[in-house]
Amino acid sequence: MNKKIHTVSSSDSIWKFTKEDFRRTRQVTWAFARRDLQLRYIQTRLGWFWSIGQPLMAAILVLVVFSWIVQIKAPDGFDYSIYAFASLPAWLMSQHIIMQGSPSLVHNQHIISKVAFPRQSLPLSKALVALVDYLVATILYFLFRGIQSGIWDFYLFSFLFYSFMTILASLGIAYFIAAISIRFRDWLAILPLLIQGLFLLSPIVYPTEKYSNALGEYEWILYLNPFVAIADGFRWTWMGINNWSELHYISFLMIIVIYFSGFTAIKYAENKMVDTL
Amino acid sequence: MTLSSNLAIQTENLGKKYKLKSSESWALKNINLNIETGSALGIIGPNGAGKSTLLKILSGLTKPTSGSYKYRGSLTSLLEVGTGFHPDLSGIENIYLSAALNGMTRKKIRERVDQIIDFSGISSDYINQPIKHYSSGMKVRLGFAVAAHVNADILVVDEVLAVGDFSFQEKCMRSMEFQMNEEGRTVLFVSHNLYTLQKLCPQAIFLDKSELIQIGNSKDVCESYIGQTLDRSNYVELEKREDRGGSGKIRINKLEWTPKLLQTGKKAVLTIGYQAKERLEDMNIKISINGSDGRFLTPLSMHSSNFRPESMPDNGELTVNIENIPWMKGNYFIDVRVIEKGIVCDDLRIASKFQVHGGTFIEGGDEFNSTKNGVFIPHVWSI
Repeated sequence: MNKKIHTVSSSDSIWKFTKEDFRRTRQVTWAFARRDLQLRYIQTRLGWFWSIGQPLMAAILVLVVFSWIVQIKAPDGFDYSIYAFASLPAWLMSQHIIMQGSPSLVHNQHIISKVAFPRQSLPLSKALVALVDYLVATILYFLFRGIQSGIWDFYLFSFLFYSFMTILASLGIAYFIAAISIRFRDWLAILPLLIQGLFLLSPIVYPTEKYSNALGEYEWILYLNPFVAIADGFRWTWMGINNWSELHYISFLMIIVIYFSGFTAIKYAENKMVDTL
Repeated sequence: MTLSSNLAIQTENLGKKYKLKSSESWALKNINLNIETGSALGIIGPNGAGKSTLLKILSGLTKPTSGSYKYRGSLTSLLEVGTGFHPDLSGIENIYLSAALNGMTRKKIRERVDQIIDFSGISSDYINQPIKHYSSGMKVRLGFAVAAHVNADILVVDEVLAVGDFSFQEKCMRSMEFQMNEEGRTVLFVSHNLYTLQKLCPQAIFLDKSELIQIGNSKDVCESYIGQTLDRSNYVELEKREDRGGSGKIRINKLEWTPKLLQTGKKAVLTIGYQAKERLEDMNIKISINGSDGRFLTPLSMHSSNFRPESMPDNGELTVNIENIPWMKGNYFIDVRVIEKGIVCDDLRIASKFQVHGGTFIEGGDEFNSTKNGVFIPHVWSI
């Protein structure tokens, strides 16, 4: 008899995370991610085409609205499309994670009330699915940039770092809303507004320098948005644009703050979830 | 982190408190249990006694408010048949999904997937079809097949065996018995069906009002459970009974036989009184007559007798006329369940007991002597 002995006590901290929990998170996350990928293939007529179609359409929309209608110019004579599309794949990924991850606990409550597993697995599985689309969109951008400007260099470390930051920030938001929406469903109702606000306030389709137009010396408030660091990070990765300022530290710090508050929220809610649902 | 080498689960002062709007109540209090490896333990008790809370805590769904427990090896809970099944996925895809949720590794599932399909009896034409095209029976069989192949050292099972067709239930029970005996697996089993429970579990515990009342061999425990509930049904009027399930919209408040002295082969009338807050539509009362060992014998149901009044007053009485009592001499008890528009409104186990005195079912025949409960059927002998 050398099987492992597990102990569960009323005084366990919410941070207790055993090797077994880790194994279980991995197992369940993969199972849910596989389910979502299989369902996407079955339910939509065009299936995997959407991995390519969605970023293409988003790119066309951005081009039409912000370049032709609003006529935003990229700084320093850069081509606007290469400039604006640099952080578009990352934005689409985080939109997917927040949009799908936030309601994932409420949508799967029948499973949650019958099987025990670390609850962060559900939003996490949405991130895995989003990652597939993200890779496709990134390849598209890489080809587009190469053909348009003849630049084919690729900074792997920087790319991985900012991709990771994007996942951290969006998962943090998804964890937080997923945890709180168990008790307050209103949070799911304002989700579309939240996503829209985040897109408009983030310097994805316009340069970060425009921030100073709005709030002057209080522009640091806009840097509380984690997507400032992410958007400028991707433009640095793909185009070598260096506009880092001290204010960007705020944005980086917020990524960490948001991830840990989200993770704490979902851990805190974990033990009460079944009683509340 | 110590646990005596012969034990699979040990609980210490396990308790769970729920906070309601203004008050607090303990759903489970001071549970101390030592469960040996390779044993099968049944859990019985009336509705609201804390059985599901105990299962929820042990399966890790909710955290105890007090105390702690230890267990050895892996633990899986089967609280539902076909957990996680998605209607748009095929049978095989659902096997992988549900088995993974129930704790099986992908490697193990791949090894067993043929066995699972075989066990479910679903043909190869269907197994690659989305399960939304399956009949409900097929879905249940697929769910059971996954459940029966889950590999864990400790298995926590909630009444899931109560659904599905009879021959398939038997198959599942045999498979569970086999796994307990051959693989040294520990099983915790909650069931209202005392007969199944006794067959599957040599040991049982009796929970009542959040506390552990008795622990011992399951025949004794079942007897004292029936005894205590019957005592309660004798001393507590039906309408004051608290150990009920269902939504509470309708309450059964009367179950009465006339005449008081029931005899095999003679006429009897069962009067059922109910109370609700509004007029009722599409109501169905389902009564189970069980033998003294808890074994289900006879159903009496409005819908299965094709009695379907469109609308019923908010309170009233119904009568069931039995021309010839078919039950042999002995003690019986009644479970009653009321369903309105598909929703269970009242669910009362061991609602009342009655005694049938001897007699002959077929005019002029001898009395059939037996200490067991049984049911006569009309029949004719010939040469």
